[in-house]
Amino acid sequence: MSLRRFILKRLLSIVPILFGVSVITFALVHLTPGDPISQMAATNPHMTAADEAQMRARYGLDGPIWEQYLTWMGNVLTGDFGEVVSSGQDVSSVIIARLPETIALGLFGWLFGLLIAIPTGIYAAIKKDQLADTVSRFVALSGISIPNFWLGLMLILIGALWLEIWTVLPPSRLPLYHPQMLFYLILPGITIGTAAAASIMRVMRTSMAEELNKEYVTAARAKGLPERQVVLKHVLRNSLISVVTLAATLTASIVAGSVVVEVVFNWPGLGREFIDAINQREINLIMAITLFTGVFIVLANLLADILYAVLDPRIRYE
Amino acid sequence: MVQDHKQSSIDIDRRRLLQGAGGVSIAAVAGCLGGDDGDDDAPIHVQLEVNSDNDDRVQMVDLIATSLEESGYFTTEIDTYEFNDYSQRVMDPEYAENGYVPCIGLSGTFNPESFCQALHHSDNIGQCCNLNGISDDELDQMMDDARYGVDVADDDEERRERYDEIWEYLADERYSSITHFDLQAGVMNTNVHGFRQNPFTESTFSYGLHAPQDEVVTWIDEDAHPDETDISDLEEGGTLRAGLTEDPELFDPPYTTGAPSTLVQVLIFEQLVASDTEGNLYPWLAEDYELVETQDIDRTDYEEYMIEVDADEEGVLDTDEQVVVTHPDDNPAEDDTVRVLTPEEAGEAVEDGVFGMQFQYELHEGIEFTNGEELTAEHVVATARRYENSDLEAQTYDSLLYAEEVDEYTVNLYAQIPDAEAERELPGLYIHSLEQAELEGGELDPSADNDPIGTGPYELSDYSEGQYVEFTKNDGYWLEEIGLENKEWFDGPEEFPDGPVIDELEMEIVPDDSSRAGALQSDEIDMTYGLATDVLDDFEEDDDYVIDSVEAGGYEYIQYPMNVEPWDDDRLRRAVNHLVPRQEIVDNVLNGWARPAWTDLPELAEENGTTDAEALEETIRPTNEYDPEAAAELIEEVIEDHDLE
Amino acid sequence: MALLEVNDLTVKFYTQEGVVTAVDDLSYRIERGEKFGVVGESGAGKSVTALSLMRLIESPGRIESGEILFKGEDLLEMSEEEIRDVRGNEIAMIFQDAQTALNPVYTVGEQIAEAVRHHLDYDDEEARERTIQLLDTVGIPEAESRYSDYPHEFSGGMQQRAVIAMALSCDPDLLLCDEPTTALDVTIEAQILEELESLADEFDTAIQLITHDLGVVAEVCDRVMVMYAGSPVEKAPVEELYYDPKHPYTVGLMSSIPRVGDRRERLQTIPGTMPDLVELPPGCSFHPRCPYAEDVCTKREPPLLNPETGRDASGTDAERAAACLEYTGELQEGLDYEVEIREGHDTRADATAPNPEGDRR
Repeated sequence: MSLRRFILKRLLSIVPILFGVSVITFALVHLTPGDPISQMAATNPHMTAADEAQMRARYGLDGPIWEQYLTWMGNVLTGDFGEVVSSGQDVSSVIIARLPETIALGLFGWLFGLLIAIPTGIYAAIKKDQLADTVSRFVALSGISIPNFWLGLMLILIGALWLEIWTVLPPSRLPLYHPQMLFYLILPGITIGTAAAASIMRVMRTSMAEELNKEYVTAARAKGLPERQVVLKHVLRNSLISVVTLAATLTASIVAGSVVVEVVFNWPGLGREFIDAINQREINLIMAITLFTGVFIVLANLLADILYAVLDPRIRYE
Repeated sequence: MVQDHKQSSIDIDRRRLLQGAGGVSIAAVAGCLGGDDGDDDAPIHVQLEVNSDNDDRVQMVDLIATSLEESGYFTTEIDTYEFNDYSQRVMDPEYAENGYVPCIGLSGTFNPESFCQALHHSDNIGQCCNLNGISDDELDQMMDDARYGVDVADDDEERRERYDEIWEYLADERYSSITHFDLQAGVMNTNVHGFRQNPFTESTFSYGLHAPQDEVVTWIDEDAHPDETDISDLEEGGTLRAGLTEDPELFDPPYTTGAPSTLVQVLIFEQLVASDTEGNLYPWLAEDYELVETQDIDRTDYEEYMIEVDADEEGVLDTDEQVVVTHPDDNPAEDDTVRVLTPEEAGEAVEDGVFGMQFQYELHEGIEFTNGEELTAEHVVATARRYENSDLEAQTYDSLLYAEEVDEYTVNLYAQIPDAEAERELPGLYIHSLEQAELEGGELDPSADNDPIGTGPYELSDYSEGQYVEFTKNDGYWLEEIGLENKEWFDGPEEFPDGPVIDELEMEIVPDDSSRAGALQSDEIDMTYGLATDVLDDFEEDDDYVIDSVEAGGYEYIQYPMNVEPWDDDRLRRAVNHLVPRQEIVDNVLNGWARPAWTDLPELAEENGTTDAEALEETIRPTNEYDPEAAAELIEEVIEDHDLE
Repeated sequence: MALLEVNDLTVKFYTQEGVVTAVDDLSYRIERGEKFGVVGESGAGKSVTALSLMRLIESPGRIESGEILFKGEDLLEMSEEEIRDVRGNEIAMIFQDAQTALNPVYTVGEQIAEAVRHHLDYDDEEARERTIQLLDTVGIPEAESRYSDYPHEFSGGMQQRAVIAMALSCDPDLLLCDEPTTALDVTIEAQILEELESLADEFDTAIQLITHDLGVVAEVCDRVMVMYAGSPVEKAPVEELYYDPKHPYTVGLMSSIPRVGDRRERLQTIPGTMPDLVELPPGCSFHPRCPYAEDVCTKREPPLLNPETGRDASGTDAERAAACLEYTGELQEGLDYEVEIREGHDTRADATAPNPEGDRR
């Protein structure tokens, strides 16, 4: 019951957060020069200042910023995210088309990160200060330091051009839920998940090593439990608590990472759309993507909070 | 455009502030000569500006700066800006007062004007792309006279001569230095035969697949040797897999401003005329056309037909109608009311015989749209109406006055004033079906269940946003029904196909250059275009790939701040021009995939822009050669006259 | 045959600061059902000894030499699997701080039941029943409903009882109690000790009780071993130790036993601290703190001797042993302390020693 109230409370708290995010984003976009109309004008010698003004009025890009914001806000509250000026598409249809692609990619990257990071983190903690630990720490450090566009290019070079296991372009004719897409998620997933994996692994290792020193571990061993059970049952659950925090914060960096990864792997997601939107000053699209990302990150953190309670019975939400 | 004073000054202050925040100086004072002006050895300080997101352009500016420094007369500084910041910055009318030297790129057309007017005409101050406020009445007049007026509208040779004068005039004044002309290169594997790259990206496929005017046809043959490109080797059928640089997004021609969208639309939509790579026009949907009449009028002659509309502070006119002509003496931003001609009054004027030019087009009978409609004059008129108040209104209604149905298969297009470009400009409409001619802007969209309906050789069969777009051959393509033998102008071999021979087009949307190159290498696509020049080199060395390149309309230029001392001295501008290392730029920055701009006129505009291209180059090239000695001589004079130390 | 026989056990820790000899050449034995006390300050090697018996010494620690015979079998020779069968099953441990010894994220019941399932091959339901019974046995009220409580929902005393229940869960033959009551207040301490004693009697379980508190030892144990800096300094049956301590360190410890009615805020402790185990002082390692130390103590390491006979008593059979040069006759001045027996409600003895304050504080 208290958990339900907690979730409800947290969900409500999204509202002011999103409001703040929308104000800041709106202001930032408007503080940077240029809008879709000036984009058109910049390369078109036929377009006079009068033409520009006329078009701006037609697309509702004139008037003071607060007025534009209020109009935008009013529309959003009725579920209308506006349209993309340059293409005339509904912003919501763009989001609906692209969001699943990014979610699939992000989720896969995230899962990949966790699947690699948690076992290696455990292993490194158990073999602390031994060769395996040193190697895995080195690999993790590299994982954090490698820029993901470079990693992506290397993976394409090796996986698609040398080994010819994958294709350079994802099979765009297949629907996202086709099983074969899983195979094509591997390389971008690795790219997007590597940095996350590296930092999760480091935290996993540290927190595991710390937990391993605790007395309940000795107590569990003193019960005669096999080491596997000691580590995977007793230590793991305790060390996961700090990993959950990190994994939640990593949602933001995975979202950010998807921007680059989608370009390199030609993945038709929201990240790629976001870059274009920024370059073309498509304010409605920028706003919508920012809001969705905001919701996503808040939800990830909420999920983390709920997971805490699941992992650690001492945590109760009032 | 002159703006309301108060309004524009507020605007400018805000912009200034933001430019300060957005601009990043990358190379503050190159070379060993520190400090700003006033240096003993280097009396002139130059601030070059460029948008940071174009690597080639930044490198090019770097080369120019280095060359200037090496002369010993200049200290330089390069400021770079993100494109949006940059375009706002340089298109501000006040920018000219700064005394900076901006670099920018533009896309020209067959119209020679696009290589001089956009840069230099005072009409283009504060907009694309007269950045440094060049206002030379004599030059303005020369450029106007080369395009408008009965003298040139009827006489191509007269027009060419006038342009020759302009190029020579510009060589003396040298307000801007065009550095080079881009090449367009299509890269394909050896399955693709016969393809030829068009100078304009948007025509890459429509032209490359089938262009009887230049006897170009592309076919797929996986077994044949790549050299077998003779028409007798032609194989029909098959699928071309291509890599697009951007999502077309739009299938609505009047609401399309970008080449990526036009690129695919032109497979579906056609115009009354078609063009070869030199800009010569051929009747296309029209069986024939003629210039009926040219009248010596200007826009004020429409005065009696004009109506008055209110204009608000920002120059927005209070009318839902397309403004065809605005009275030359009225200014929407300054005046409260403005006299304008809307289509209705334009029709009245035409009825009364008031117009600049009249072209009459005879349509082929039996041209069918993919929805079964037969093309008639009504379609042309309805299409012209759909361009009203569209995103393309500026370039459509700067020359078009009115479209008039004469009979079922005859249509008149009227130009506002005598205009040498009217023959090309007026029929630049992508003809719609009546079914779609009434659609609101942006509604001609597959996602709104409005698959584009045209007369073209292909039909849109599938489109997945951001992923791919597919076309299938239009089985009832009109040209195949009518036959090329019924095109008077066609003098190619009999076996030349009447339409494209490839059945399916599968186009993958791959914005990332290296992914597109990789996809070509791993045989996921057969051809692509728009690759970076260093990648082109790799493909050129590889026998498994073929590159077809052609000089395009794209060019880059730097422009001198002639409103600021000492740049008002033409000798300084000419001197700096002598220090622009055009050959080095092409060789080192563009890896040879461009041509130095020895004149201001690229190959594609030579047909209309000069009487004799070779002679023109002979005259102009010496003034554009890299020549530090000539530069030094000129600068010494400038220093002396201006008391520079 | 003794239940447990530890012979010449040496445990070293290879730390960055140097090699720590935590247990040095230690020998003792525990009979079935016997209650054996191990006494000393923290750092004396008591806990390490206990963990050694379970073979739970972890890197950087290592059992260097010796043997640990449990029911005649050397635990140090066993495979990892064999030793796991012993742990929790035949030898169980009660930890000093129940709060840290219990895993906070599993229910108390589960933590007990898992050992039962593991060693006794019970299924879930049987294990649950036995656990509830055990909880009841150690005196936890409403055991059935407390089964699914988490450790943090238990009070300190209850946690300690739970830990005891955990240790008793598989009827071990030897119970290692490492300061089982230190974390508790005095009333609960008494209750728990009583509980422990009676349970041990009930199940005929031998106890090795590790403590720094001689009072606790007196209450529970039969025999005692006093450790200092990793080595035994005195072994004796509990009465003898109290009435007739033979080692100055034992005397020092005894003078720090709190007495009922003692109003002093702080207990009298032995001045000085345990030496750095990396670099033990030469000779007798207690000499820097010993009020009776003489020149010879800094030079010669005293062997474990029978204080009566002066013979070697380092073996496990020795009932009475002390490691002081007094018993080799090398001490000039001799030891000078007296044991004063007070009448009281228990048998606690009390020793007072001169307190040479000042020079080493």
